This record gives sequence, C-alpha cells and structure tokens, in this order.
Amino acid sequence: MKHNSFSYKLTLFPILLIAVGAVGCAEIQPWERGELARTEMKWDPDPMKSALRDHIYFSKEGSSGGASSGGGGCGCN
Amino acid sequence: MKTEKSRTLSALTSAALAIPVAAVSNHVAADAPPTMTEVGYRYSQYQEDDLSESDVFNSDSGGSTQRYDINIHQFRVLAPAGDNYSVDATFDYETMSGASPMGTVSDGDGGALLVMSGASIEDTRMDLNVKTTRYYESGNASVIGGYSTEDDYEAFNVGLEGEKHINDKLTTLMGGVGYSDDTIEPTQKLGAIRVTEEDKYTATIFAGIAQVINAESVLQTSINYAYSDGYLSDPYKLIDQRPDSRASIAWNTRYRYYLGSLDAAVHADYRLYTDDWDMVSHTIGFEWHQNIDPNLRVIPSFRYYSQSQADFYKPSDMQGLEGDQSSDYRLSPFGAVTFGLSAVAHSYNWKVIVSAERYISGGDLALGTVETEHPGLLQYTLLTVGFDYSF
Amino acid sequence: MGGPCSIQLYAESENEATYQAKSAMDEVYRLEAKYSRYRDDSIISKINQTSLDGESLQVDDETAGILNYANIVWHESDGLFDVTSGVLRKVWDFKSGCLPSQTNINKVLPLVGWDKLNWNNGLLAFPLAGIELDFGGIVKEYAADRAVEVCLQLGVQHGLVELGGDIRVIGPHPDDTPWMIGIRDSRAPEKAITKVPLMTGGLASSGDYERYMMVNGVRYSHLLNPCTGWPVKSLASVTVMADQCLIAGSATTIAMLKGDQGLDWLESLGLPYLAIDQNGVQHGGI
Repeated sequence: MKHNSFSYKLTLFPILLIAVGAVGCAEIQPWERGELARTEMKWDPDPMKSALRDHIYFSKEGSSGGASSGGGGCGCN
Repeated sequence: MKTEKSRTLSALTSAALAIPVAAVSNHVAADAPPTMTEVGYRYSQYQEDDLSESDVFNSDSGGSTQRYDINIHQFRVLAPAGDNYSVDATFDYETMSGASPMGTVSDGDGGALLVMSGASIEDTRMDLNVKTTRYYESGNASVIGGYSTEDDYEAFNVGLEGEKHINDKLTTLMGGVGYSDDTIEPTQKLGAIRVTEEDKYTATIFAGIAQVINAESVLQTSINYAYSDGYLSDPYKLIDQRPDSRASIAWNTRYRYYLGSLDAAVHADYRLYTDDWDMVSHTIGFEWHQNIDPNLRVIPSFRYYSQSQADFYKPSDMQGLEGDQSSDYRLSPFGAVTFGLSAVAHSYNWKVIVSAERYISGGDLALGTVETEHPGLLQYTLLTVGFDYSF
Repeated sequence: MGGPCSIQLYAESENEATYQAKSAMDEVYRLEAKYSRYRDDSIISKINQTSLDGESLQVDDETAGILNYANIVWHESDGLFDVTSGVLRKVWDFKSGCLPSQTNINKVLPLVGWDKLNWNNGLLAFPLAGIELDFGGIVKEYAADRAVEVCLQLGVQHGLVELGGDIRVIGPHPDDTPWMIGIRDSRAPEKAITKVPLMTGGLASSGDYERYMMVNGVRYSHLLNPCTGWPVKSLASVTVMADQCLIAGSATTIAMLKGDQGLDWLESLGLPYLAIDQNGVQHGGI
C-alpha cells in the first residue's frame, strides 16, 4: 500500500510532454518580448510574500513542494 | 581620394581594432546579476480565529480556545557581487503565542472534539537563508544555505539550483536538489511523556521547463520529488504515531498572461500533490495584477486547496490501537480558500506593499465528501506591510 | 555624451526598431557611465583618484585598449593629441572671455604630458601625483562605433548613428543610396556649407567654432597645444571620413592641433577629408 502513489508518476509525464510539445514551436523575436519582461509577469513578483505564504501553507496544510530545492522544516504547529 | 594608406593610418587603425569589446551581446539574452542592490522589509501579522467552546473538549478545564498569533519580520538583501554573481539573503524573525490542539476525542455522536493545550505557548523562530547565484551567458546556477532555530526545533538546509536557456531563450530548463536536516527537542512538561530529541532528513529533487508561448504568455511546469526519513510525528500530541518515512511528488504548472488592453497580468497556478501516505491534493491559484497607473498596482488573488486524508488519519484518538495513527487536522480531509488583496505603490527605486489575506478551511470545501470534519480546521487572517528600496 | 545624439534605422516594425535602437543606446550609456569624468563611479574618476594618491592601478581590458590607442595617437600626433591635457581647461575658461595669466598656465603645464605617466601591460602608474586623464575626443567616437556594432549584431542593415556630430553609418538606405551628411559652415555653424554622401564607415568633424573666445579681435579656440598650454592657430574646420568613427575623430583633432601643418598632415594620412582654412578656402576631396 505504501508506494501506490507512484502510479501517478506514469500518468504525469505524458501530460508534461504534450503540454511542452504543443507550445514548443513558437517563434518570438527578442523585441517582441517586452511584455514578458514586465515585473508583474515574473514567476514570483514578490519573493518575500510568496516565501511567507509557502511557509504558512507548508506548516498548516498536509502537502508541499514547488519549483525549488525547498528549505528546512519548522516546529510550527 | 588617396587609396594608399599611410603608416599613421595603419597604426591608428590597428590600435582602434585592438580595443577588446567588453562582452556586450544580445541584451535580452544574457543572464545578468541585478544592477542595483535591493533591500526589503515586510511586517506581517498572522492571526488564527479562536475556536468555539463547543468544539473544545476541555474548554472548562484549562483548554484554550485561542490559537496562534504570529508576528513576522522579514528582511531581505539582494546585491550584485562582482560582474557575475549575486547574493540574496533573507532573515525572518517570528514571535508566536497561542495554543495548539493536543488531540481529539470522539463526541459520541459521530463527530470529534479537540483537546487543547492550556497555558499559552510562546516561541521565537529565526530563519536565515542565503542564496548565491552565478550568472552565465545563457543560464545561472545557485548555491543555497539556510538555518532556522526555534526553542524546540532546529533545521539546516542546503540546495543547488540551476537554469539553462535554450532555443533562443524561448525555453528554460531548470532543476535542483536540496537537503534538510531537522532536529526537534520538545519542551518537556510534567506528567506528559515526550521524546527528548529526534531527527529527520529530507531530500528534494526537482526538474522543470518554462516556455515562452507567445509575446504575451509563458508557461512553466515542474516535477518535485521529496523524501523524508526519521521522526515525522508530532511530539506534543497525546497520541501521534506516523510512518518514519514519507515520499511525495508535486507537479506544478504555472502560467502568466499579459493582457495589453487592460494593462494587467494574470497568474494561474496549479499543483497536483500525492504521497505514500495516500494523500492527494489539488491547489489552484489565481492572481490578477492590475496596473492602475504607472505607480500603482492592485492585486486581488484567490487560492483553492483540497486534500484527501492520510491513510493512518483517525478523526479521534484511539487508545491502545496498534500501528500508525494521527488525528492532526493537517492529515484530515478538507478544503480551503484564500482571498487576498494587495496594493503595490512603486517608483523606479521604491516599492511600498500593503496586503491582506483571509484563509477559510472546512470539510465542506473539500472536493470529495468529508464524513467527519476535523474540529481544528483553521481560519486565519494575514496582514502585511512592507517596502523594497533599490540603490 | 554632449551634443545631439540620434539613431536612425530601418526595421520591419516599430517594436523591432525600438528594441534595436534601445540596445544601441544601452551600449552608449554603458560607455558614458564608464568613462565620464562627471561621474564619481566612473573608471576615469577612479584613475584620477589613483593619480591624486600617486599610486598605480590595473585597468580592465577595454580601458587598456583605449589607453593603448591614446598612446598611439599621442605618438602619431607628435605629442599634440594628449589625454592628459584636460587639466588646461582649469585655467582656460572660454565663457569668461578673459585670457588666463601665463603664471596660471605655468602652474598646470607640469601636469600635462602622456610621457609623465607609466603605462605598461594594463598597469597605469602615476609617479607624479595629480595628472588627470580625459578621454574626450576618443570615447564618444568609440561609442558611435560600438553602437553600430550592436546594431549590426541585431541584424540592422540600414541606419546611422550620430553622437554629438560624430557619425557612423550602419549601412546605406535600403535602396542603396548614401546618407547625405551636412558639413557645417565654420563661420555660420547653423548652416551647411556642403553635403557629403556616406555609404559606410564614419565621419567626424572638428571646428574652431565649437568653443572659443574672442579677445581683442583674436580668436582663441578650445584646441590647446599641450606643450605650450595655448590655443593653436588651426584650420577653421576639418571633416574626415574613415572606416571607424574613432579614426575619423582622431584625424580631425590631430589635423586641427597641427595648425598650419594640418593640411599637409591630412594629405599624408590618406583619408578623404574636407578642410576649411581661416580664409574660408576649402581643401580636400570628399
């Protein structure tokens, strides 16, 4: 029972490849990327805010994990 | 017009051509450290709603209905170092007070009541994190080190992360590994049997890809695998015994879309999480970054979260039961919503931030049907003010 | 950078042009910030501070390249084009309309002279404290060349960069016709005395009208002889065409500093030029 969750791994990867394959052919010139460089278009416009949010959700909910190497835990209950 | 070049002209020309060009390439392309030093500060008040007395089993025998209040000071410095490096250091100082659930008992009617700790718990937490990044022509690499300490808890963590731009910078590959070593030394209380010192280790690995879709949108997707080993139980609970390892996978997808006609950016995030404690969760996040004028941005946000229970979760503590069990609300099935509103006033080197969030969780917010809602599910309010300054 | 700066280029869209022009301007701003003597954080300020302290300094490769160039220019001009001559401005105030006293000129002259500092393999040493470097006459022209290089890298084929009168062409108009550059009338600088076609390369002009003062009917121009500390009796204006704006700029400056030998020097140099003498007579075959 313990490792039944690994069946998810098999279903996740095809989805990943389809998502990337569908958009991989875009051609956008450098001068057309101005909007993408806007601060509000960053993955994390306010790192301190998202760090605090992640910390709260990490300690108050059952699940965690994002696109980072993670940090230390806490004793916050 | 003379065509024969003089000796003087040859000398000047060769000297002019010999001036080496400082690496100036495609300006959007090159990954570069920040040009200015940025300092930031945030003050946040995190306040959990009081419990109702009818949910607390021992409310008339010293059990508190008050939960945690936390004051958080966050400091950050992001500075360029040399031509190719940056240092990003954050320091958090938190003071918390309140009470927490020690366990649950059945209310004899299919539900559960909380057993709350009595006297207010006071704790201070400090967390220092330093991330040093090296920038390359088409990517960057970071080394991360962190240390946090509380009265009863200590954690060290290290990490390595990297990004590589390919496909004319339209695609970014990312990945990293992390390791954390945590030690808990519970405060002892007369009459309570608690462990004295326990450890756990967590290893994390992630890989992802970001793709520019068109001039207005970007998509990022990543897989994160984490494995924890060691003492994963809660020493303050009356009965709490969890497996000594946990393996989890989180699949994150993030999307950013700029709406030129409205001068707004939409952020949409989704995370699917699953682990070998049999928990599955879905997290959906939306943010709307609306520019009001060149110096003011307003950001309403919404988040939805739903998790299933861990396989050893018990709605109420069962004395004498063999094997793993926990009545922790974080392992119970529930759903939650967060509503937020932020305002950011900014000039070229100043930013002032005000934000408020309200978090509500409950059994009826979960995706599936929850038979026994945990009485300890949280509602909280988070208020933040802060600033960033660049020089 | 002083004076009007412009970038004209042909592109398929306004966004593309804006991006290319901005990239080129970023390069100009980079050099401006790096070599401006008005900025405390510039390499020039750092060099001059080192000089005040009488110490030595290891400079970066780009700065070393420019110093090597300054060394060659100094040699080729027989010591007339001298990046240490900027201190003479402290005694020559062209706005005041008053000539400096010989005593004051004599006070700063010891600090003028490229041969008074040691320049060797990137190491700049100041045996004599107080010598100041000034890359005026080099960096603006170099920046025009660099801005063009950035445009070329970004795929621009037709365009022109002008930095305060110094010009470098990226490429001719799309129909292969040259850019027509107006040459100032040295006695009526707002008027063009003639127009010259430019297909490629750079063009620079220097004139005694740029900064001068009239005292008792005598014209004293900003072109100072680093040996005497006094303005040279130069040609009225010189325009030179060269592959690089930097070469064109140095050639005009040297020709002006050469005084009555300027025309001969230009002729021997072998670059296309247009010179106007103090009597308004045009020389050269642009």
